[in-house]
Amino acid sequence: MVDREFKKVITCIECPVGCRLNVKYKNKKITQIDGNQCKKGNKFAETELIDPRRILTTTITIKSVIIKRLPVRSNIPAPKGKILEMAREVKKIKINPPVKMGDIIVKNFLDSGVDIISSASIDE
Amino acid sequence: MINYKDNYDILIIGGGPGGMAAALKAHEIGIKNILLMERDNQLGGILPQCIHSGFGLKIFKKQLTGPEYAQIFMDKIHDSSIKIMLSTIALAVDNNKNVTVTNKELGIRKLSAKTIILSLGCRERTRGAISIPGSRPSGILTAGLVQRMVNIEGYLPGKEIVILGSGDIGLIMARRLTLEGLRVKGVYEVMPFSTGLPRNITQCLDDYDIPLYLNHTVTNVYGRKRLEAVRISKVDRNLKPVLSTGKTITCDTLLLSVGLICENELLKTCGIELDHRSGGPIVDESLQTSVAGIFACGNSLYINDLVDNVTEDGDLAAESAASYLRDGKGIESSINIVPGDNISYIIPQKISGKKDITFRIRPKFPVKNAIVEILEIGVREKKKVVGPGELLLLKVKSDCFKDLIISGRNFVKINITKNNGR
Repeated sequence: MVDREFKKVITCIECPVGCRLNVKYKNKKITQIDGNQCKKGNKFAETELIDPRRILTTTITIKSVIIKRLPVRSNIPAPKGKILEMAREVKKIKINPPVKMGDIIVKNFLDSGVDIISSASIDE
Repeated sequence: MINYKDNYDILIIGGGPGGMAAALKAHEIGIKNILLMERDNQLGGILPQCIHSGFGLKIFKKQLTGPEYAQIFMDKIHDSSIKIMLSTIALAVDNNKNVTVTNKELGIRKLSAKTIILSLGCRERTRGAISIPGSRPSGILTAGLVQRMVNIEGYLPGKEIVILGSGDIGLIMARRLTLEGLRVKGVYEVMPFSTGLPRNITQCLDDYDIPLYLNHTVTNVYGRKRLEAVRISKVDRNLKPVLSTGKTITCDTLLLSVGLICENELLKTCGIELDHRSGGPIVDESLQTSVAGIFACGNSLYINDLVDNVTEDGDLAAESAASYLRDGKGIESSINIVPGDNISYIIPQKISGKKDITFRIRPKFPVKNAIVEILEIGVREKKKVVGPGELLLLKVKSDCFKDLIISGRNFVKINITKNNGR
C-alpha cells in the first residue's frame, strides 16, 4: 500500500446544522479537516472513516390497548453495515406490557455489542 | 363518570409537544386550574409516530427519539395535578373563550376558560393540493399518515414505493420503509433543492443508496383499483413539467411529502386573524392572537422543523397566559413586522418593541453568505448559510427599537440578501 492522501466530503449528522466536512486522510487517519462549526465534527469524521455507526430505530409487536407497535432503538449507535440485518431480525420480537422507556428488550443484539431498548412506556 | 370543572384558568387544546410544555410551565408557575385536551388516545401529538432519533439536542443536550422526547413530558404531566382529557375533540371556540368539546363521557359540552392556548398541530398537503393528474387508485398516501400506520398501527402501505417531496418526513419515511423491507425506488423533488436537513439526506437516502431526483415531479398516475405506476417528468426553471422527458416507473404506493399546513379550523370559529403567509394566526411577541387571552404555539402557529422550538414556544405561551391572568390584559404591540426579500414569513407579526425579541424567520430560497437586515433600526447580521429547511432565529435587543418608537413609525421590514461585499 502506498501512503496516498485521500479526500472525502462527509456530511456531519450530529446535529441539524449538517456541516459539510472536507476531510483529508492517510491510512484511515485524518490529516486535515475543515468545514465543521464545532468539535463534534472532528469526532464524527473519525468514526465515520473507521467504523461508521447509526442509531437503529424501529418497532416491535406489543399487545396493548393503546398501540400495536412499540418503538424501540439501539441504546448506542450500531455498526452501519449491520443495521439492515438488525432491523429485519428485531421485527420478529413480540412483547406484552407493561414496559418502561429505557427497558432492555434484548441485550447484545445479534452480537453487535448494542442493546435494543424501549423508546416508550406502555402500561396496559 | 369523570367530573369536569367548567371554568378553567388555562385551557390547552392539543396534547402534543407545544400543549404539554404549556401545561407543565403553567403548572410550574403555580396555576392550579389547568385543562389539557387531546384528540388521540395518548398524549404526544406527532411525536409517538416519529420513532427516529434527533430530537431534543437543544433542550436535553442529547439525541432522543420522538417517543422518548414525548415520554419525558408525559411522565411529568401524569405526576402533576394537571387535568387531562384524552380522546376529546374541540369543535368550536368562541371569542368569549367558550370551547365546545365532545368525547364519549361528556357527549357535547361547552367549557369556559379565562385563557386558551391553541396547540392544534398541522395537516399534510394531499394529492389535491398539488393537482396530480391521472386515475384514482388506492396506494396514494401522505407520508405522515403512512408513518402513523407503520409505527403505531402496524400496517405496511405496499411493496414498491415512490416518494414525491424531499422534506424531512419524506426522507425519514424512505429510510423507515427500507428498514421494513420495502423497496423505495426514489425520492422526487420538484424544487432544485431539498428542503430536508442535510443530515437526513445522508443518513436516510445515501446510507441506503436511495436516489434523490431534483427538478422532477409526478405527472400522471396509472392503475384502476390499485396504483400500478407513476409517470415522472423533469420540470423547467419555472417548475413546469417537460412532458417529453417523462418516464414510467412501476410502483404500488406513492408517498406524498409535499408540505404541511397549520391546523386553523378552530381559529376561524372565533374570528382570530390569520397570516396568509405562515398559514397560522397573527401573534405578538407573547404569542397572543388577535383575540385577547387566546395564545397559539406549535405547528398550528407555524410549521416547525425542531421540536425543541415548539417546547420553547409552549413555555412562552403559558408564561404569557399566566401574566394575562394576573393583569387581566395582554401586551400592547404597535410595531408590525413586514417580511421583505427572500422571506416566506416571520413570527411574531407584531411586537411592542419594549422587550428583547427572537424573530423566527422562514427563508424562501437557499443563500450562502447571507445578510439578515432590519434597515429601519440598523440591525445587520451575517449568516453562513440560510435556507427554507432551517428556521432562522434573529435576536434583537429592545434598545434597538427605542428611536423607532419615539419617531412613531409602526413597522419594520426584515430582508435576507446575499453578501456581495468585500
